[in-house]
Amino acid sequence: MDSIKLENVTKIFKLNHKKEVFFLKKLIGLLNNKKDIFIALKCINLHIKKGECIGLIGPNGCGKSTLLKIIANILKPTSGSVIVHNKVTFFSEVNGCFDLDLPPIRNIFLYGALLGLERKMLSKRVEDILRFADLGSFKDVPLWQFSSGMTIRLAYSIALLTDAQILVFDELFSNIDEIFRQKCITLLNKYKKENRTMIFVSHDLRNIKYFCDKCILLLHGEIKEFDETNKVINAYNLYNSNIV
Amino acid sequence: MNVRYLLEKVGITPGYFVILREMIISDFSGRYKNTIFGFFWSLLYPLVYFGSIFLIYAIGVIKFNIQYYPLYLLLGIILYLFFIDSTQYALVKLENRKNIIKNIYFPYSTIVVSINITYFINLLLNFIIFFLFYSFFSIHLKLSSMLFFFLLLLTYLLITNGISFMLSALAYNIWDFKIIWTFITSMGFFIMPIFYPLSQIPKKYIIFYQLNPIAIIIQDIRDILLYNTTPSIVHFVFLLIFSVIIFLAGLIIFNKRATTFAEEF
Repeated sequence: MDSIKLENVTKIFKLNHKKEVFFLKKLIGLLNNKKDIFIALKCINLHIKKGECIGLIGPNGCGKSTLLKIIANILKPTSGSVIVHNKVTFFSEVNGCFDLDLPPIRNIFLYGALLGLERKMLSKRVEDILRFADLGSFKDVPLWQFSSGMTIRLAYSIALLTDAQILVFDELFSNIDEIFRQKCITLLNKYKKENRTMIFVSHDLRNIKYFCDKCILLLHGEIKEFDETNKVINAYNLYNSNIV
Repeated sequence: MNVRYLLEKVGITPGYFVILREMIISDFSGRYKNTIFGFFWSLLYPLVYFGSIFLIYAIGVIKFNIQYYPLYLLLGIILYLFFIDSTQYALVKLENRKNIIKNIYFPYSTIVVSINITYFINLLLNFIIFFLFYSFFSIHLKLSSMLFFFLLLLTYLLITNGISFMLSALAYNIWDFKIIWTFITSMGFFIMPIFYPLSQIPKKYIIFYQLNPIAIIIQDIRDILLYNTTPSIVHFVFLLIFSVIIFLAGLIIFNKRATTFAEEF
């Protein structure tokens, strides 16, 4: 059974080349609606089965994050249909999702609620989350005093509690240390055994090789390859060597 | 067609209130987090306005023939400041939460509602100060008046919420609008009968005040609490229906506009 089904999905962004300084000019710009466009995704057809681990690779700006955000319902496609069975949890620049003036405990409840996690479960697991993130001694410290790595560790520790059956990761393991990386890998392996569907975007091809059975190569908003991971990585390496 | 369907139609999904609660706690605890006196600043804030205007009244710079003027003034200030703060901070908070909007799908209207409710709680706390002053005056309130008072506060919250939704939909990503709105609300403090009576306004302009729901509610609450005059049922029902319409219209406009929030950087 397909867990994710995308048919003819196209995403077009309207571009603001220059930030309009004047209110009236900007307002007129909004009303006119005449802007340059950028086609981020072109007619994407994609079927992902339940329990599959898929890698998504490609150069910067090829539409990887846009595709993930469409699957996670954060962005709406300009045209085409998206059918996603089950809840999706999206892991990305998660450190931006926190209230930096507040300590981890308050942020655990806020971020957890946004991810659709139950408060009861979160209250029971606050200590576990802090221990997993290795932030036990920082529980009353406002987040603005955290390093970016610490904030990401906290975010991952909350989000990884998700009961969502579909997990999408944008640049997994960036900015975290090796110990925490290993902890995450153990947990993700557990999720893989639980037959959860996972999609990974990463420029670190080791992660893709390690986790993913199949891989997608996205170039200029189009799916160029969707095959076994090794084959697709080879195709991507070939593409890169041609470019360089 | 059941209630749940209608709620989902306007973006109020089952997890809505869980998110809303956490946002309110976060907004409330985050507001004065880095200050020594904490939330007492929010109690002091209207008193500063009150003190300044009452001073120029007491020394005779301005003169009005208003019964219980100190209460009249304080009531006007705390009610209008609620409107200013709720609408202005709703715009600011939406901008501050941009990163969440870009990374998580959830009902974005919770951001606006949470700010409005946070300031509504603040308003209720300000009323503690008000009723402390009130107790020095021998005004006898009827129980039915209190009921009207609370219902009017509710309509005030709904209208403020509706206006916040409309402004947020319009102002998202346009910082200039937030500045313009600050000017408008500051002007409103002087244009509306906050520290002077309605009777001071020339008759030919009175229609503008009768069409302004904020001015109407402030005046109604003053009539109830200070002069034991309750509004007519027709007037009240009309106000209630109007506030529900403003709220729903605001929510629908906001939800429509919010579909593209995540892709506007």
